[in-house]
Amino acid sequence: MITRIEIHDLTKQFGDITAVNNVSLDVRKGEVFGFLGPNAAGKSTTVKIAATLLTPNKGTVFINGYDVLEDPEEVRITIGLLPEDGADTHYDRLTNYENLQYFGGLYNVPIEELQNRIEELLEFLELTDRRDESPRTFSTGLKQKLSLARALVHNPPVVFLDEPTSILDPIMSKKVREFIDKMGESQKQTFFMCTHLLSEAEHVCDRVAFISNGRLMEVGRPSDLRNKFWTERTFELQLVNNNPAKGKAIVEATGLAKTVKMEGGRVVFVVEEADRNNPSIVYVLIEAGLRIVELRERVPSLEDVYLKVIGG
Amino acid sequence: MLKKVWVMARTEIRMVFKSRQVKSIPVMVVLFSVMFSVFMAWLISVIPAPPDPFFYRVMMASTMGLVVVMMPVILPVMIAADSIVGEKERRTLVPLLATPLTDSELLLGKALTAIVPGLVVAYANFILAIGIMNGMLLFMAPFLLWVWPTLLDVVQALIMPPLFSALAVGFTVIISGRVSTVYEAYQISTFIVLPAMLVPYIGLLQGSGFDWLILSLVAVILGIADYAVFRLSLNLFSRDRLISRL
Repeated sequence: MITRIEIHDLTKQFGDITAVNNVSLDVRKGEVFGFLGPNAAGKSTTVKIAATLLTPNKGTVFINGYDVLEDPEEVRITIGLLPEDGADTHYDRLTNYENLQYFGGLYNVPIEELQNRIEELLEFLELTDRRDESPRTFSTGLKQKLSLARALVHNPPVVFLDEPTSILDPIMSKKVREFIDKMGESQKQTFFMCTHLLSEAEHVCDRVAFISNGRLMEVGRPSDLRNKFWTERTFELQLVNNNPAKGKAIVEATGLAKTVKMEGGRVVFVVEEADRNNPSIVYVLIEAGLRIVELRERVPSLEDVYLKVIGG
Repeated sequence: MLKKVWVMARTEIRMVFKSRQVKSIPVMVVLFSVMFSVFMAWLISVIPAPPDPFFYRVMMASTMGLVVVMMPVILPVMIAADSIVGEKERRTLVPLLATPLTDSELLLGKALTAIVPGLVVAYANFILAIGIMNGMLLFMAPFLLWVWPTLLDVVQALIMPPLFSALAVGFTVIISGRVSTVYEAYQISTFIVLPAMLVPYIGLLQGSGFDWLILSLVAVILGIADYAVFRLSLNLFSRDRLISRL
């Protein structure tokens, strides 16, 4: 597995404040990696160091094998960046097309390839009709779309997105998520995405890391993190004739569930070792003459995991 | 390397000429140059004794020298301040710093952006003044026709502006990395480079204007100063400091 981003013992201080504290992690080729944390957790500082904009006090970052301290130019060729507050970072005296053309030119993208790429991105982001307008006339959401296009204009193998959808409307957020997902699926580009929108990370990211107060708390696939922090599993049971009280009593009587309660006409119970205990519970219910409409697991969201890890 | 510098300078110059603030300065200075030429021609026509051609040439060379130098000092300082600190203020600096531009490419691009418009205006100004002055002298005092500019004056007008511009921009780049507003950068830079504008008057001290020796000396000294200031600005340039101050 090729590693695109390697972060080793990264530490960055601003005066007395340690923004990033001994962070180490790897991101593999083609991965969509979510970097999650509350405000001022150190997400943007990490991205700025990886983009060679800030110098770490300790440790380093390798992008595509290039050290940000030793080969900053090579790193910058390799990456695309949608910075924090990216929507406000366009040249108002240029048109949207010229903004993209300018940045493509700085990456030495051949003219014909650049034109095709810009057209493609503008079309996908539904900005084609407005290509000759100034970003000044754009709403924040539209500016953010332009920022995304700018980050991708040179087709970089590694893309850093700092809060890419936090200011977009739900429809556009979904579209951008789908776009990132599609790019990630092609296994060609690696996305490192800072976000505090956990639902976004859950939909898009192959792996996530939680950072808090500059410290890396957890790294892993969302499902692995769920399993790690949720040894107990919660199930919802719906019975024919909607008789939850009887169902509750029977489940309790089995002694296999840790807790049993009724919620909105359903029986909700928590078990450990569900693979062993659930069949027994179902058997007892059927033996008691109850008929089951549905038995469904209540999967904890990434938000639940996050709150547990960060301690919210 | 030069391709990226050219892409940057070309785009930024296009943006510079769209700035209302910058647009007004060349117009004002060209206007000043025209008015000055007209005033000089009028003065020559009204003074009772015919002016001494030698005196006329020295006066024109020094005064136009100042006008020609003034433009490449004031305009580049303003553009460089706006181009570096202004980018910080407008938040456009972060994506630019994340591109593959090296520090020297970035500074060279910014320097060209600041220098070229000033040079264009300065040279245009000089040509305009030559045309107006000699055009009017043709009717008012034909014996002064083409007394100014001499070859020395033309060479001076050609080489001094880029040398002064580079110095002014170098100082502005250094200062821009340490201040937070365009206004601060502009004020401090102007204060530092303003004395340089007196250089065209050095020639007056010996009563004959610049001669080839003084011109060569001044050019060499300015060239060395330009290089030293550029190296210094490159050494002091720090993406970290610029970003941390945002």
